Amino acid sequence: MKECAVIVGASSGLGRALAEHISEKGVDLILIAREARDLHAVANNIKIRYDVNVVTFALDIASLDNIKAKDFVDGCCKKVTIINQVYFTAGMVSERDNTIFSGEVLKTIMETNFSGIALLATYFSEYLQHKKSTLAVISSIAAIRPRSMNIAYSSSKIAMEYFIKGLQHNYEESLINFQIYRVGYMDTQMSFGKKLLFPVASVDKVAACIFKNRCRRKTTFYYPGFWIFIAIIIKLLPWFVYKKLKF
Amino acid sequence: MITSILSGFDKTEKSECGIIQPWKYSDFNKSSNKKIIARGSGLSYCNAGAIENGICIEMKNFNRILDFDEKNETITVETGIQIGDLNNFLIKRGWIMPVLPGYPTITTGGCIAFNVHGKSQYKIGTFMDWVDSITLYHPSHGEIKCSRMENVDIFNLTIGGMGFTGLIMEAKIKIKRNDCQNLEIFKIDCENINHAVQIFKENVEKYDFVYSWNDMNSKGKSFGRGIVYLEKLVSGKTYKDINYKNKLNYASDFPGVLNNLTIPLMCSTYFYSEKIKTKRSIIGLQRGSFPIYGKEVYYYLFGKNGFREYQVLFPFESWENAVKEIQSAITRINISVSLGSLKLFQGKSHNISFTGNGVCLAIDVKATQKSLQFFKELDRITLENKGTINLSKDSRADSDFVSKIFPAYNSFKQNLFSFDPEKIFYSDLRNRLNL
Repeated sequence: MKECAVIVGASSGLGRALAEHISEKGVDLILIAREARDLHAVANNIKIRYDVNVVTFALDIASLDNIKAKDFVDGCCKKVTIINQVYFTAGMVSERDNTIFSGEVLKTIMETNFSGIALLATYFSEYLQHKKSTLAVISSIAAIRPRSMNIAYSSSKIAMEYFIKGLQHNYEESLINFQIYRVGYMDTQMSFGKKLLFPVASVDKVAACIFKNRCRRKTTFYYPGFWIFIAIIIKLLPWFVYKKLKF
Repeated sequence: MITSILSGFDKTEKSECGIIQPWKYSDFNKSSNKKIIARGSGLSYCNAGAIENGICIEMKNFNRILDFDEKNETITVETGIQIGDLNNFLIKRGWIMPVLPGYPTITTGGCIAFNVHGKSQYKIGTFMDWVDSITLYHPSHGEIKCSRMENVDIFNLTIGGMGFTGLIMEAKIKIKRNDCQNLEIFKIDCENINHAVQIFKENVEKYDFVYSWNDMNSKGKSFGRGIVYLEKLVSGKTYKDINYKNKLNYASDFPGVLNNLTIPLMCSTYFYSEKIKTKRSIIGLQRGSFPIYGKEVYYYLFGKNGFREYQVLFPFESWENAVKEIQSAITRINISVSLGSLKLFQGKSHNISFTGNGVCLAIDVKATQKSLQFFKELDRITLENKGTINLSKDSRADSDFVSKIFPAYNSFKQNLFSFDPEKIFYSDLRNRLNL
């Protein structure tokens, strides 16, 4: 039976790379992103190059409430016969995310990176529970330990991770592979031109890794792999040392 | 936005620019009071995709195919798509891009902005002959659809317009049916540069691609001896997925080894090695479409100071006289030429693009003070022999010279000003050419 994947945040960066990689393997797609024009460009390119079926939905996940999310997922699931993969690549950062007092930034980041994804993940899990399927979210190495920079961003990512692990617990008996990708620096708009401590991974390679791992029952993945060692070191550092680090 | 030093492909012009790399269409709406210019792969020899203290907009993420209409023989693309990627897509499906410049990572936007030519200019024209319509974005005008039927003036100004009319977002390009995935190459020795032109004239109608390599360091009657390449599309299924990499952005600190001693030696070695090789060969079309690809080491050999290219088109009637003068200038100035190459051209002039009828000659030299003196001499020869030069390959021609060799210079300048009096889209090239 032909597979179908949903990608939330498909118009740029990792989401777009994932859409291109998955479609190259012959998988049909439902693409979701905020801006319709970008979405159509991605969808047309994929349809023409890889000859797969692509359905698009322009949706701002930050604007979702419970009813809208449920209706939206119902609508998606009616569009195709079977969805067996759901990937959440949507996310945002803000240059103003450096103090807990930037209230508006905090709200927008939490709605985009956490609550919007959590609502959709809840209803997609309900749909996927009886199928051999994958629900993957893209987290970040920023979620390893809190720090003074990108407070809202790292909080939203750790909240999302907890939520997905909660869903995993809830659907323990189901056939869904819940996966969390803690991804390091990628060659997207977020890292463009920045001087970074560690190498930048190409979105194409990250996309290939995510798709390759879709059937694995493992929950947390680090990409590139060396980040797992950095994560261990950062977690083990005593607070009196950690607090002195500026990164 | 980041700030970086950008240079043209020949490495002779450098400027500090802000660079942004949009991912979404809405990113273009962000306003700025700085001068801006689009940048593709940065492979113009001059600094056409850079502006000192301005902003370069890198178009690399806008590289999608938006429509493929086999019935009407067109493909619509975002203009950050690389020509090699596009050509791969088409070859696989039994089509071909009619005009292919020498390197696969050149973007479609760059091809339109400089109205580029390929190895088959004489038979199929330049890029402008194959562009059906374009979508242009300019902050003061918004998005403009233009073609030969709609907004014709803007269409004509944008093709070969060097990016000065705005960001070329989309283009609908005419494509050619082609079931051949192989290229049959015949190599013919030529005794001198005029002999090469004679071989061209005899064969240009019979082959799909005709060009030559010439040794411009050989003396006397053998000046410009070399190899003429006659190429024909032939059947066969050789398609492979190739992910072309841009290997031309070579490290700027690579030590240069080309000089007056090594250049003639390199040219002689190449000449004799080509002479003894088989005279007929067949290679895959994807590889054969881009003769420079895989030979990037040639450019590395110039080192951090780079090189200069002079590509000039002489009318047939003044060709022989121009060649005599060029030979005399090379001897007089005592400069070594690392590359000479010829093609035949035909077509009408357009703006200040590199088009027209005659013989096209490209000359590469190491970038030195002597090369500037040599190019000044070539300017004189060009002017006296009614030639025109390729501005995308020249990093030093001034507005005075350019206005003399291009009759359309003043009208082009005036039309650009009428369209955009604020000159929002501006590059180092525009500054130098005083447009």
